[in-house]
Amino acid sequence: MSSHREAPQISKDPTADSSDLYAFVSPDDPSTVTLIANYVPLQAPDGGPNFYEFGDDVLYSINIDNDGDGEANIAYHFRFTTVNNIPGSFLYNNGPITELTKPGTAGSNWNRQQTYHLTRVDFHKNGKKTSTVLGKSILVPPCNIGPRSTPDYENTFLPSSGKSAVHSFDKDGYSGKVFAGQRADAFFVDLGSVFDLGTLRPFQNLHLIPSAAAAGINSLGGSNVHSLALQVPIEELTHKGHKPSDPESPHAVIGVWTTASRQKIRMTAASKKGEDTGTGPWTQVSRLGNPLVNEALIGIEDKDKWNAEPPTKDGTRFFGYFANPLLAKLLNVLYPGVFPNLASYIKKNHGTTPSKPGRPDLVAILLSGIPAGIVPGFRTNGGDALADMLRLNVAIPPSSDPDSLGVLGGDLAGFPNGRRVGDNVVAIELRAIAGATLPLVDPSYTPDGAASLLTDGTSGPDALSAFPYLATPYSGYATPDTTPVGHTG
Amino acid sequence: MAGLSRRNFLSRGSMTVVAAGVAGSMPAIATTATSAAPEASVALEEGSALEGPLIAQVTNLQQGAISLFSGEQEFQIFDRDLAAKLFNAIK
Repeated sequence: MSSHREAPQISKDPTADSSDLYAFVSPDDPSTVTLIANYVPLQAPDGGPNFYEFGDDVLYSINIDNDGDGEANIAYHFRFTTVNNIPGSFLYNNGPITELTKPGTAGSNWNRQQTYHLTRVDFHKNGKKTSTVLGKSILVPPCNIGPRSTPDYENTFLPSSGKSAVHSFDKDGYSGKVFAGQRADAFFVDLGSVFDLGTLRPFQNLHLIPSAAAAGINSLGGSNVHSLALQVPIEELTHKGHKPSDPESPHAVIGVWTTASRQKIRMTAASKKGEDTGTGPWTQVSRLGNPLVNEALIGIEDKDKWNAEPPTKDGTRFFGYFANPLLAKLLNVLYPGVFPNLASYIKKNHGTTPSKPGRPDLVAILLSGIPAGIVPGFRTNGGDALADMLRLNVAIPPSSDPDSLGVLGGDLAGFPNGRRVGDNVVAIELRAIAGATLPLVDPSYTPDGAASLLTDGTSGPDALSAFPYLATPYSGYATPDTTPVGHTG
Repeated sequence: MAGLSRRNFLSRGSMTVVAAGVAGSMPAIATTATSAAPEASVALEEGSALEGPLIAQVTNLQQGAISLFSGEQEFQIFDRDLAAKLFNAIK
């Protein structure tokens, strides 16, 4: 997860913790865009008896800005309802769950079950909004427990034909597919070493506290997440419903971020069933646009505030973190002598204001979008907003041979042009912070040789070739927490 | 503010003031003995009933600023008398 447990408050609230956001032109259907927002990070597959679920008391939203002002023009809202179908049972299921059935279906062994409503909200310039319910009581598949409880998981709950947790909708001119449920976490990062004073195992022989170089370990190998996935026609997301063909047009760019909100007042154990209840307006508690921003750029004292603010605040209140990131300075301390050019550059360029940012390249990548003219046939800037949004240029088609280094690897269809499931955002952002992207804005700068080599040495599971793209969730029976599986990079 | 008025809020017959937050200490909620409560000075409209929690937060005692939470909404009123009554109720 590129934003897992990244702030003090949200680390205590996994159900509302946004962990990853992906946005890409669908490779198997380039007339559509796929948006995936992951929540409930670091799920151990064998996490029974109360397996992981979305929050009934959380408003999940995937937000889209299509006119470049950093404010949502469109939002897709997800609201969940949980039922217990089998009174008196302590079990998630009383027998094998062999099909996707509605709650309360006679004969079903499925006890604890979730459904959700999907609503599209369009925000108009006059301050009004229009809500369109795209689906009601859509079924969430069960968690992948094991061969006895959830046999033949993928064919049972996401079959290529028949009743599937992938739901198609077509309502009032809005069409597409939606999925909400457990999937394998596709993010890959060596958390154990990265947060041990910035250690990158393949380079730890050069660390301030050295040890022999080693292969990276993917801390998320074998972990699951809960995914909200949407696939919709491009023209249903863009400015004025156009389908842009010119990748250098600002109208080709949409900005995406996900938020989770809770009601402002929470009363503990207040319902007759002993559940907490919420009252008052929905109040944002989690936000995610570009990967790793709140995790690795925003100071601890501001992380909770950042999660509660809209992206339009990034250009003022939080600008300094993007313009002069601490991580760049730490690279020089933690890897002495490895980044002399970066060290020299930072000494002379450490401004924290929009008029003179120390790192205009990072501001462009993460806050404003990359303007036209920097990279031929490419832009991710859609307007004047300084806002952390995952910016996707919908006029750039999917790559036939994706490079996990995205634009840094010469693949214009990859991060920071949106984010695909397989993009190695840890390596990309490390290299950018180490100066690999500075020549885009300062042609006189020569990056250190190490800047283009940085990686934590990990890789992730293969993505599926079709929606919802994230792989089958790991089975609790096959992946007990004490026996890590697939952890080598 | 459909369905919510100061009269509803002041009545003690059908609800408990759940959270009157005052900056500083918050003692355990003391039970208000309804049998000893004085007659309400403001009448309720016929058929008035709470449909869910109604929560009040005094945000500024001197100004009488009170935030009210009901359903998915938040309302702000200014009533120094009401704020003073709430504050005195918890002393």
